Parts: sequence; structure tokens; C-alpha cells
Amino acid sequence: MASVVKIGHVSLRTSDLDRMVAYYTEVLDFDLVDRGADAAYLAADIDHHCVAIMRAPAAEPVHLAFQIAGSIEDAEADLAKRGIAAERRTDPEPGIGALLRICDPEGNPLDLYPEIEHRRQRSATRRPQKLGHVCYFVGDVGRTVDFYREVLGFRWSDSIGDFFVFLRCAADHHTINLLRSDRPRRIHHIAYEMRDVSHVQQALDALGATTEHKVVWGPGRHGPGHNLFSYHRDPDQTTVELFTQLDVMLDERLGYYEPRPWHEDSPQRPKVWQPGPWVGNAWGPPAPEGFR
Amino acid sequence: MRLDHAAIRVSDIERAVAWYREVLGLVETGRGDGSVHLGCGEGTDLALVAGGVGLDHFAYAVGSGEELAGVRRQLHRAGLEARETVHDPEPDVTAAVDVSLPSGHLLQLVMPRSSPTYLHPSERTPSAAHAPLDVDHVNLAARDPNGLAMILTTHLAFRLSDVHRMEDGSVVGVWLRQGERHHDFAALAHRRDALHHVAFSLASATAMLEFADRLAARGQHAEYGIGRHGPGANLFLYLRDPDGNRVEVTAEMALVPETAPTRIWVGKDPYIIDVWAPYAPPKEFWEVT
Repeated sequence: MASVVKIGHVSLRTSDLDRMVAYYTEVLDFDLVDRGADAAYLAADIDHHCVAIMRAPAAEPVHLAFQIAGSIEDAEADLAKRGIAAERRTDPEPGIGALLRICDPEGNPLDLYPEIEHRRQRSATRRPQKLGHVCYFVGDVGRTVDFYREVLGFRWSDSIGDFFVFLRCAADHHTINLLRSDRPRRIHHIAYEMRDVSHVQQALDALGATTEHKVVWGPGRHGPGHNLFSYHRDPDQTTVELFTQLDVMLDERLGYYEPRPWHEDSPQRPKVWQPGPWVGNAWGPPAPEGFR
Repeated sequence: MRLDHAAIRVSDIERAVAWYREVLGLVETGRGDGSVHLGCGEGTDLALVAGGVGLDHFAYAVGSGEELAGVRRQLHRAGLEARETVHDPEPDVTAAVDVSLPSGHLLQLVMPRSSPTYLHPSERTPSAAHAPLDVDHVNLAARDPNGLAMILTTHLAFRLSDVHRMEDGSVVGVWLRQGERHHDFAALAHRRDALHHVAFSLASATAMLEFADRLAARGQHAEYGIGRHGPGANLFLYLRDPDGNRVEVTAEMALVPETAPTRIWVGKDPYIIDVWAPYAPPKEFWEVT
């Protein structure tokens, strides 16, 4: 199995690269690691980058990169055995020596790589500490979930009804969450992890000081994952979540999330949540009209 | 003067006492005839009065008999009658007078039995660790918030911290202070004179988040929040007691220098009510009791 161990980066397309770079560096305090005329690479933690932004006239499907365990040859062999087309690319982007490009059943390109260059972090207090997860719309939830579980080794973390599924590739409750839509292949939101609640609060004050990036929902606490969430929009109107206190499953054999006082269940195991008013925000205020 | 306590009316006093103890973390400090007094640890911060809903009165404490006499003379000159209270004085109060404001709200001036002190976190019993630190402010609904502000600043030495008005000059909110905290009294324009909310201070933003989690664990939910207000810059979370009286828990209220000019907020900008988030509060938020 081409076993995914972490989310590497999200690739975005924009018509206004300068504006997106300004947002990531000034509002979110990311490090700009590499910048060309038509591409910018931004980092939060020690990975060379966790966001790649390309100048392009139109959006493309959801484009994610995952780090895999084992060698690129083993992954290549496994994918071939499963009949999944994989294209090997050498020196595809800064910091990455080689990767395999595959497509998920929805037609979203996925890059798999075993290694990315590490860098020394700039001391900074405001910057998120990592890319946490990406939530995107899919046409066929069941088929997509099967693919990520069987081919890439993801585990099922929670569902809401039959239309929203949360999958993990490591301890964090979700690395990808898949939301059914008749307009698939779009990002619902990109989520960055903050250290703690006061880190979220700092970010909220920084967002509040902007005119373009005010909070569109939150802060509140989600049901599935129990993360303390807040949402705003980037300059291209992609929703960005800043979160903390996401559930973690420290050992798969244990089968339940590390106990937290806000858990409904004892222990809190993966389950299907019935849609309801407090699943979105346990604290109360639901997503406002216009939150999509 | 300083805000001493708020007194609100409730239909079922035992149900309300249980709610304020269990949800808000207040402790019972005494009982009168048809009233129960609750506090954050030192004295009374909230009196629950049997019957009805909304504000019974709000009380400011004066430091001495001389100060109380002086305030009464000032009120008399202003044409406001201050009469010996008809309520049971709170158990830790030696004297009280009632002042009916033109809006119909009842302001009480009290002289506490002992000098107010501050709560020290290390001196709280573990069971009261989640309790608020103090009553923070009262926010009234008023047909004429500007008129209330004029009376309080002219005759009772309140300072006007902030005003929110529309482009046509109509005043939609006033925030006033006695000490250096941004507001201990506020009033919002409304079609009737009533209570919008009573607020209690928590120690920190973290304490607010923990409050929200405990609320959810009890199967209860906030009406609005968490956010950060424009006027006062305080963090807010609003909820309703079993009678629908609105309670705010708050933290990080701004400190305002004595000589600071009044800050004016203009227009219907939703950022004024929540500088973090532009979406409007739920329409129920404008209900008053």
C-alpha cells in the first residue's frame, strides 16, 4: 500500500499571485520560501512548504500532496498492481526530489512523495503551526472513501449522516473531509492548526483588524473532531479554518480518541453523527446564512 | 461609586437559583422576603426577585454616609426623587435609597456594610473556581438611551465612554463608566424600557471558552458569541436564563483613562457588535425582558 502518513501541501491556483502571497505572509504570518514569476511556496512548519500557489487563469480540481511511508518504488509497484496509473515526476517543485502523480476517483490530482526538504523555522508567534486538513466536495462519497482507505491507507474517523466523512492518516482526527455535492472537485475549506486557544484568539484579533478577512463563522466547537474552529476567507474567497484542540487517536489499537471533557461519549469512538443543530457548533450559534 | 449588584425578576425563584448556581457558578449569599441573593464570592452580585421577568433594580455602592447624602442632594437638585428603599436591603448593605430614572428603571444607591475588596484566585474554594469574578455591567433597553446617559453623567458623575449613533444622529447605544473599566452601565435603544442583559466578568478568554464547553456539556447553548465587541473591546458570550433574562459572560474589558474623550461609532456596521465577525446576531438577540 502507498501508505499516507501526513498531508504535505495544498496547491492553489490564483489569478492574483501577489495578493495571495500578501495574505499568507501578512495576515497568516507564513514564511515565503520560494517565489518565482508564476509560483510561490509558503511554509508554516519545518517542511519546505505546505502551500503552493500558482498563477493560472482558472481554478483546477482539488490538488493535494501527501507524504507516504516507504520508498517511491514500492508505492509505484503497489499502485501498478492495483491498476492505478501513476506518473513519476523528478524535481517537480522546490524541496521535493520525486513524486508520484495519481488521480482520485473524482479526478482530483494527488501527489505522493516520501521526502520533502526540511527547513529551519523562523521564530514567529502568530503563524499557524501546520497544515491540518483540507475539506473538499465530492460527487460519490462512498467510492472516494473506499479509494482513500484501500489505496492510501486512510482510516474512517466519523461521518455526519451519509454526506460528510472524516478520514485520518495519522493521529489527528481528520486530514481530509469529504462533503457530498453535485458540484464536486472544489475545496470547501483549508484548515491550519494553531497551538492553543490563545493562539486562535491572537489570530482572530489579527483577522478582525483586516477589512477583507473577518470571521465568517466561529469561534465555536465542532461535533466531529471536537476542534475549536474559526473560519474566514482568503483573497480568492476560499474558506480558511484556524483551529485547535482537534481530537487525536494516539494508538489505532485503542480505537478511541484521547479523552477530552467536551466529549459526548465515553470513550469517544468513530461514529455516524445524526445531522442536528449542535453537531456543527456544540456551543450554540449555528453557521450564519451564507456560510457555504 | 461602583456597580454593586443587579436585581432581576424571575417567575420561579428556586429554578432560577439552581440555574444561576449551576450554570453561572454563583453562590448563595442570603435570602430575603421573596428574594435570593447570589454572589461571586464576596458579597451580593445578583439578587433574584420572585415574580415576573426583567430588571427589578441595579445598585451602585457609595463609600460613606456623607457620599450618600451628597448624592441625594445632587439628585434632589436635578429633580430626581431619592427615597428610602422599599425593598429589603441586601443583607450586606446598611443603607439604600431608590432613584426612579425617567425611563422607569430603578437605580439603587447602597452603602455596603464592609468595604468592597477584590477576589483573589488563590482564595477561592475549588468548587467556586469557575465562578465569575464579579458582576460586570448592566445593559438596559431604553427608548431614550441618550437621555439616560445625560442624567448619569450630569448628576451622578458617570463618564461617557462610547456612543453608537446612526448617520442621522439618533443614538442607538451608550456605554458609561464610574471607574476606569470601559463600562459598568450601558443602554441600547429599544421600543420599550426594559433589560437587555446583566454581565458577569470571567478571568480570561480561556475561562470563556471553558464556560462555553461546560454549557454545552449541560446540554445548553449560547444565544450569541463568542466574539469581541467594538465598544469596550470585551469578549462576549450571551445566554438566557430559564425566564429568558439575558446574561453575558465577558472578559478583557478595556481600561479607559479618566480623561479619554468619548469614542463615537457611526452607522449600522455589523463589525461594531463583533469586530471579529461581520454576521449579524440572531434576531432573538434584540428581545428584551
